[in-house]
Amino acid sequence: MLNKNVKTIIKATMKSIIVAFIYSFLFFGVLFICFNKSYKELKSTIDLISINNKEVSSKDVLIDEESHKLVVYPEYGTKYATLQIPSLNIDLPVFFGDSMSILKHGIGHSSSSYFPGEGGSILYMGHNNVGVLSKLKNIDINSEIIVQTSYGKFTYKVYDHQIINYKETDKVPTNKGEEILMLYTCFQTSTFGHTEKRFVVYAKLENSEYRGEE
Amino acid sequence: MKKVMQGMLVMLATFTFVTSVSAKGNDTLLTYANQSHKIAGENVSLSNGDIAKIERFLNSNEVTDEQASDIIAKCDEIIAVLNREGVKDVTKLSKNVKNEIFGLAKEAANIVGVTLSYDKANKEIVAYKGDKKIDAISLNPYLKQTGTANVLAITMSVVAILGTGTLVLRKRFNA
Amino acid sequence: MKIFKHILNFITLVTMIIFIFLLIGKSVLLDENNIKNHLEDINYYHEIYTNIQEQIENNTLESGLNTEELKNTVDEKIVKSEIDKLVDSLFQNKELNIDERDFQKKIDTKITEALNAADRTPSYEEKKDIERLEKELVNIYKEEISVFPSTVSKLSLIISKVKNISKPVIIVLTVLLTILIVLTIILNKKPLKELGTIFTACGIIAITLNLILRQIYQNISIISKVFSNLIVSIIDKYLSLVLVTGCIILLLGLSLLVINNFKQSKN
Repeated sequence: MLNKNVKTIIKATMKSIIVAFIYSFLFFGVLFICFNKSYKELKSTIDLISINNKEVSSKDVLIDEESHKLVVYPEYGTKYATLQIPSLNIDLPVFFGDSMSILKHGIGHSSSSYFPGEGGSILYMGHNNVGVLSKLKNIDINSEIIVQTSYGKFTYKVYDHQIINYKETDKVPTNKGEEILMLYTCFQTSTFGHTEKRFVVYAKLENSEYRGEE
Repeated sequence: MKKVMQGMLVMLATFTFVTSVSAKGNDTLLTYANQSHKIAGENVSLSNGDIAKIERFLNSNEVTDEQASDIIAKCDEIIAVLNREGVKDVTKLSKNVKNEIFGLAKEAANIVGVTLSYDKANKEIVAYKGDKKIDAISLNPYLKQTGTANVLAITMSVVAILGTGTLVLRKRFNA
Repeated sequence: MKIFKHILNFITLVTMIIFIFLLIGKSVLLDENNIKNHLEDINYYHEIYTNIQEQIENNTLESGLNTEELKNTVDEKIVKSEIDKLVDSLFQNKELNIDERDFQKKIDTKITEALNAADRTPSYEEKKDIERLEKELVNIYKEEISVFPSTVSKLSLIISKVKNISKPVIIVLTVLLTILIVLTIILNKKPLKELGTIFTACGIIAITLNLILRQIYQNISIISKVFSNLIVSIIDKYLSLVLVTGCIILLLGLSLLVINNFKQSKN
């Protein structure tokens, strides 16, 4: 008897739950008809301000050995090379990107320039603190600057240096066709504050050794 | 033998077609990026630095013809907005217009799976592909304060990935 | 008659859903104290304070000044009170006035101390360099706190309009819902069954909407990570309350159904 009662209760309850589900479907049907377009617009607006968390697997920097063009670039903000100036005892990590948070850790590489080995202008920058580029202003013409990457070693020879104003972006042009490394830092004539002057070193590519090549 | 040769020719044709479909989209975008465009009566073009960014993206990503056309259409919309406003001085654009342009830039970027996001702390527009940061455009057009400088309040995009900011920036500072 | 019953049930259901979403929205999104408590819960004040310090460090690394001492010019309590001012101006439609004077004074003091320690009088060029640095640091301070200062007045206007509308709307909905529930009880032979069905459907809808909406906003990234986390966490809180409410109403609905069916089986 008890079992029969329980079965009846369950059956009746299930019927009502089914009715509840029908009401829900009806509700979503009405929502879909009335608000589908708005929902899609809202979703696409939110997509525009969202970062897709689908993981892009991290790949090593890769270069095409024939064309010497990079085919896999480093992630923005990551270290991909080291910069050495033997005459000044400088050995610093190079990061792709030049935001202030990147410059805290070493040399920044302007993303408006090319990568070592690509045959175009390269623009690096670093703070003029001790331990970064404080000694850069002492660099001599003909000094070597070596950039070691995972895909090759590139040696540049300094041919010029200048003190420019921070607005003179034409003095650090991005060009294709000739691989020039430009490295700059702040040039302080005063001790405190933010100076308008930049000390820029220009160096031409002397030698490139791609990884795998003998 | 004849059948093998025929098969190989078909494969070769298909392969060429496939690669040329992919390569064509990239070429189309690159050609467009290298063109000059008339904005408010002046011929303006992207700087070499901006072309470098675009080349970098296209070196490591394939863009279909359709995607290239869609992106170019968005860029044309942006240029149309600027021509509609008819301003030569970027700073005179209203906030609404700046937002309109940035919205179009984001839509263009979305076509190739790139999301643009504004990083307030570093004052740059960052581009993500999936979770990976692929590039950024600084709102500061000057040499870094390896320090600080003026911050511009506008960006705009000519080509999705990171043409952001540049056409108008160049107009402003090369004028 | 049956169709009329179902129509009445459906209208009651829709009214209930709107009522729940609006009531929770009002309490989570339109309550100033709730927002401030939420900021405290997610450590927002501390994150902004840390951001300011980090940016000061990034921007003073080569200013010649002691970066650590400059970082210490930021007072976390003052940052908190300034952020609370922003919340006040949003919810009370007041003008936003970030007071950077204390911060500016401390920066000035540190710079003067540094100059005195170096026994130097700054040249004209150095004074300009120092001014540039101070201006940037003050900008950082203001921008981190106020997030988007130019939009505050627009937003506060919208918030005050929504607040003004929400009260009467909720009252109307309450009255309407009461009438509908009373009608359901009066017009039905088995009111518990009808109410139970309505509540169950309401719970199902609330839970389903919760699951659908949660897929949309989780990866929002605007302005900064801290701000994005704030937006996501507020929406999370809202939807969590909707979920809990949905679950309670679902259980209530099922209970009513079981009670009704138990009564029926006894008869």
